[in-house]
Amino acid sequence: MTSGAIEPPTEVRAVDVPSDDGSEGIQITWNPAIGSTAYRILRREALSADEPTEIGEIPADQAEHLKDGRLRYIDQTTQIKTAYVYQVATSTDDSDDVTATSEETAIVKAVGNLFHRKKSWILVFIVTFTALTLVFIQLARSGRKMFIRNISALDAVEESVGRATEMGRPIFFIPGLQGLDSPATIAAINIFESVASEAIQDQTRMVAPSFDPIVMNVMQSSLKEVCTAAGRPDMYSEDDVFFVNDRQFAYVAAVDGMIARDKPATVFLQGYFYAESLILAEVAHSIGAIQIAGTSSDTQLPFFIAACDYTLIGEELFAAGAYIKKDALQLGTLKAQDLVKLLLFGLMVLGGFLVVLDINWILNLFSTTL
Amino acid sequence: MKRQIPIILCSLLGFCLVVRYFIPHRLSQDFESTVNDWVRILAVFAFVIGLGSLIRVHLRRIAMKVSHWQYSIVVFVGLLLMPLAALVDFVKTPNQLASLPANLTSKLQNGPLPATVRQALTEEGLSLPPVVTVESVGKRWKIQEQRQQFATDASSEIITQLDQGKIDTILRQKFSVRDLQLPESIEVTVQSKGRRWLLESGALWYLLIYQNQILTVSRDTTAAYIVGPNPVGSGDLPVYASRKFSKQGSSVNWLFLNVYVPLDATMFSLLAFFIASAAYRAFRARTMDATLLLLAGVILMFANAPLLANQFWHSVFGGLNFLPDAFPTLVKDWILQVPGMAARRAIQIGLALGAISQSLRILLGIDRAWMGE
Repeated sequence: MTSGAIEPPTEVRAVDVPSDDGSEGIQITWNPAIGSTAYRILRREALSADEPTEIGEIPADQAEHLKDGRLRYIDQTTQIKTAYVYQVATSTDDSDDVTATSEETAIVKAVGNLFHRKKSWILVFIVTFTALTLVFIQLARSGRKMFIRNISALDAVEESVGRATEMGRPIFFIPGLQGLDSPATIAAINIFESVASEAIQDQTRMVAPSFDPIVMNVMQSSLKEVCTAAGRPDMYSEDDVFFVNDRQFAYVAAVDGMIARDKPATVFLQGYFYAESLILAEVAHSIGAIQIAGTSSDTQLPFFIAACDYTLIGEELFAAGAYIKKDALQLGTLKAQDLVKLLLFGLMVLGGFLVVLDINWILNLFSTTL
Repeated sequence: MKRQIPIILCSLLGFCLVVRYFIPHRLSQDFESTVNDWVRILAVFAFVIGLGSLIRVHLRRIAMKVSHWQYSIVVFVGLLLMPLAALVDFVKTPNQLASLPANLTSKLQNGPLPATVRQALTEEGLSLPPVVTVESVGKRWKIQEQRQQFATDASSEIITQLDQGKIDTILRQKFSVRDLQLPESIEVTVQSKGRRWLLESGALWYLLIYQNQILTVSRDTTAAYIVGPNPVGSGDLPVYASRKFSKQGSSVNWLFLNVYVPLDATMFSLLAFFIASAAYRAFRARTMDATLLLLAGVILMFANAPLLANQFWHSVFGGLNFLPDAFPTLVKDWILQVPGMAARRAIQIGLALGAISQSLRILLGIDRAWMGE
């Protein structure tokens, strides 16, 4: 295989690219050959007797170097489940011809993998979170009391419903601009149930203009259930929870118009909002309504904090359902969440401390480049 | 059972999708893709429910004449106007002039029009200029000729006849000299704006402009014919006159661009005023927190205004040599990247953990709000 003084690349290995569906091909690695200015990658199908064909050429100074000093080439032209063998040939400036060719690699196929290795830390995190959640649910089932701090925005719900009752005006509930696939919307529906429960007991009308028809359907069902549970099925009206529009500013125009005309005593803005957050909040403020807001959009939170009377900040939105209902199982999940947060906080402090001591390995410990 | 089945389905599917996230195999991707397709299909049905709700609520408002019921009429005007415009567009859909046989469609490629395609189109009755090229435009093909233009002297008689919607023999000869054949059946449209006339012959258009006793003739053949797309995806491709083809969907487009877009922009632009009014309330320094907010806000506004951060700063504080040149910008960046970013990341981590916890509650069947329970 060797001609002249140049040596062929050694330890040529070909393996399937990990963590892919097979489409990212086969990775070929080899030890660099001294004196080589370029490498040619040769391939043939393992089951055929054909001569290998060149599939790529890379100059030695442009080849990808791995941490262990080996060179790498990824062949993305492979067919899934087809068996190949590879060789790497060196060439020099003196001649374009192949001067030294390596031994053939073992047979290799590009196949779909069953686990994404780079997501290992995410899996560890999810398993830990789930395990802790299950432990705390079990503790809650066994009757252990779960403490949860006061959330002023949720404590104000009763006051705001009472105000609406005294003024004889409706309560508006705006569930954000995302569908039921958003956790923020489900959190908003949890809050809606609790507010509706209070409102129906006080015989106050709840109005919920909806951006998404599925969310509207769920909220209708929720309101109906609340009315039935409160012994006031007559208070339920399908027209109070209705679909408006699924275009952002058309929806905002319609809801602002309704707020300006109906003058609700309280406006709840819960869920996921975009640029319309401040427009809705300011219009509600202009008619003197109490506004209780909460969103999982960190870019819109400052607007709500500036414009609304009460705001659920960060995870308070997701904790609201458990907080209002005082459901032991749900409170258990909150405790697990707090513990995970504490663990993360501990890791951050530890990381900061180690970096100050110039120990930097922790910086890349959890990095995942997907 | 009526409640348990949806909860079991939700948990099962939810866990499957979580597991799918860790499996890069093609089967796993296909599974997610199928689920997404189902979600899209369901969303269409959900929209029908939403539309039903909208119509029912507003019909009832009109029937019962509740306060401000007139706005419900506006809703119906909007609701009917767009489908009506789409219907008008559908009626105005350009006539298909010819069709290109399926076995020739593969011959269409950027460059000169292949002779076989030319022959097929000519047999279909299309008149094509001597040299035409094919250009791919998305899923369609444009058959076009380079724009040709020439200027010629024009007598007052020619202009008078053009105004009367006629083509003078002399003018026809002038066209012939330039190898621009004007068919006998030429139709003339007299434009009301200035000294312009538009001559139309099938898919070929000529623009005549009279200025300083010179008549400039432009043959606008930038897109003489449009081939395709085929609505069913395969088979013969329809051929349209390009000018008329461009009018497809024009009513809906007009309404969208001239009614919806300005209204949308108007609503968005209100945000500027609301930011000012909200900032005024938030910046009232009545508490320590509000004072800090005010201070940070003032520094950021100062550093973001070039006049203040550069000219004003240098003229007033330029003598303070111990301060760096871009001091306001440095302070602004520090506020944004240190205390601001720290607070933002804290909120983001809390939100992410809250969302995971909420998702677990749903998957475990503890939180059933999504069922309206």
